[in-house]
Amino acid sequence: MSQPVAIKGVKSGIVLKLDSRMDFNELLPLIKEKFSASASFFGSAGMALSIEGRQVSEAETTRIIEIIESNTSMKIGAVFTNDELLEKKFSDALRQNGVSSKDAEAERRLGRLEKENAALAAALRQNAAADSASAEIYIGTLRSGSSYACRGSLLLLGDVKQGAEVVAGGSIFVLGNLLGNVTAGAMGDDKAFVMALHLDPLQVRISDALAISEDKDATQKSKKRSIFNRPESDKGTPEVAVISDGHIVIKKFDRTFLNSTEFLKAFDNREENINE
Amino acid sequence: MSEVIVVTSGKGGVGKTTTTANLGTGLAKLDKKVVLVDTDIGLRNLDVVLGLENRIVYNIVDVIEGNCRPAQAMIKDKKCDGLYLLPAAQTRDKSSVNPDQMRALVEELRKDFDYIILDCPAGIEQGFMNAIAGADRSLIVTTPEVSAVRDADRIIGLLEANNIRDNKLIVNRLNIDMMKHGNMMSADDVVEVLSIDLIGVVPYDEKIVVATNTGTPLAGDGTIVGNAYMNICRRIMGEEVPYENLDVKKGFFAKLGELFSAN
Repeated sequence: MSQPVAIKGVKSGIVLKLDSRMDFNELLPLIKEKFSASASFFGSAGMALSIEGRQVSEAETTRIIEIIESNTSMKIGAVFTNDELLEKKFSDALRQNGVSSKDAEAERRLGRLEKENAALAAALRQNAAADSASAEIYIGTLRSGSSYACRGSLLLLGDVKQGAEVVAGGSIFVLGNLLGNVTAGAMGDDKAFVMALHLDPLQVRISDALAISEDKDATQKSKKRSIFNRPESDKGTPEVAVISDGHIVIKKFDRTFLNSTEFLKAFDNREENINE
Repeated sequence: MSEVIVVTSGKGGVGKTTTTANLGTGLAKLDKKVVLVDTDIGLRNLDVVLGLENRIVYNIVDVIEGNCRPAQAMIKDKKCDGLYLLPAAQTRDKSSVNPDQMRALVEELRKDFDYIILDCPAGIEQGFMNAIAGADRSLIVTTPEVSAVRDADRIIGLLEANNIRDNKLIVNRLNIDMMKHGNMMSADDVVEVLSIDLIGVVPYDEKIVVATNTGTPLAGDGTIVGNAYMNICRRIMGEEVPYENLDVKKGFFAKLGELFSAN
């Protein structure tokens, strides 16, 4: 576990994850700090609390509730304690049933996408049979309000206008202007990337990373704006957005990139999938 | 006590969205907590006029379908504290929402905001019915043109039929010079035709085009248009504000020119 104390909000409750190796008295100030920092976020609703990750006695639970209630305006209505992490339970259960956690992760992401955009998730499910290494070809321009989704990679011959939406499980190649919103690696593939002849989207998402375009500057006469600050000379050459250290960065789509490990890695992953 | 105001017109392109953005900005500058709700699902614009287009992650349909909490979908304005936008969905259409759901959403928003301003789509179909469902009062935007006034009249009828009795008129894009020469209806003429109370007159100014394109509302920035919007905001809050003199101050040479032409 990376942090000794972690809070996760679910719909009507909070999950408090505690380190099992630390001394309980050392954890208390950390719990206090966490909750007072996010007091405004939780508001004053009645919440259920689930304590996970370590065995806590009744007295210790009472201490935790006291800290929460005195540092936020929440009221704790119910408490559950689990010494094991829920995640671990899930993955153990899945392993027992012979389902790999990789599939489970993809399903979970698909479930989340379904919540966000039912139509796109349905399209992804429909394409579920398609090999994840294959790419679909879409010919035509996606205008504002239209969307396209596929499970594998996507080669789009046309423009993606502002207000249009493209979602792909793999990478996205746009042979045209990319100005709308795109999500590559929608099922959690960090190595996916987005390439376009002219890359100037409002939002790019790759897996869990999100980049948004710069705000328009009122003093700036030109209506051009971009997610990425780049020298004027680079504009007009094909570009690619990739994840680097958890952030989305833009690079030229040239020989250097094609020979880079990032690019090759994206396809190594595909081969693994095929071998599986 | 919070108020739910729908900005509507019937006819498209008369400035509902621009008015909504400016009134929201103005009320926020008067220290009110305001949320602007874009109900034009499928043809959203309010985000662009406010310059918040790039920040949209969730939208009104996500909130209504329970995919996220209202607070997650609301976008805080760049410049004004206390101003929030609940954007419309672009990849859906008006039938994604029904009036009961809108009413429930608006009731939810009432808890946290002083003013909830609904930007209504053009037309009188489902989008309009959704937008007016939860409203306490309306602001009807019209330009001094016969077609816009005709549509506004129809809208007032529909609002009254739906039990929204507090309807005020905003005459937008009034061209002072044309009005003075009698080539355009004056605000008074419009009021006479529609027989509802006037709450403000906004003169035509090229600055508003620039402001819309750069995503920066003018309200409260000292320009004539900005002041007109600020005055409407004060009137919304119940203050008595005298009507501004829209006679644009002319430069020395223009005055000189007039002097000669009079002779």
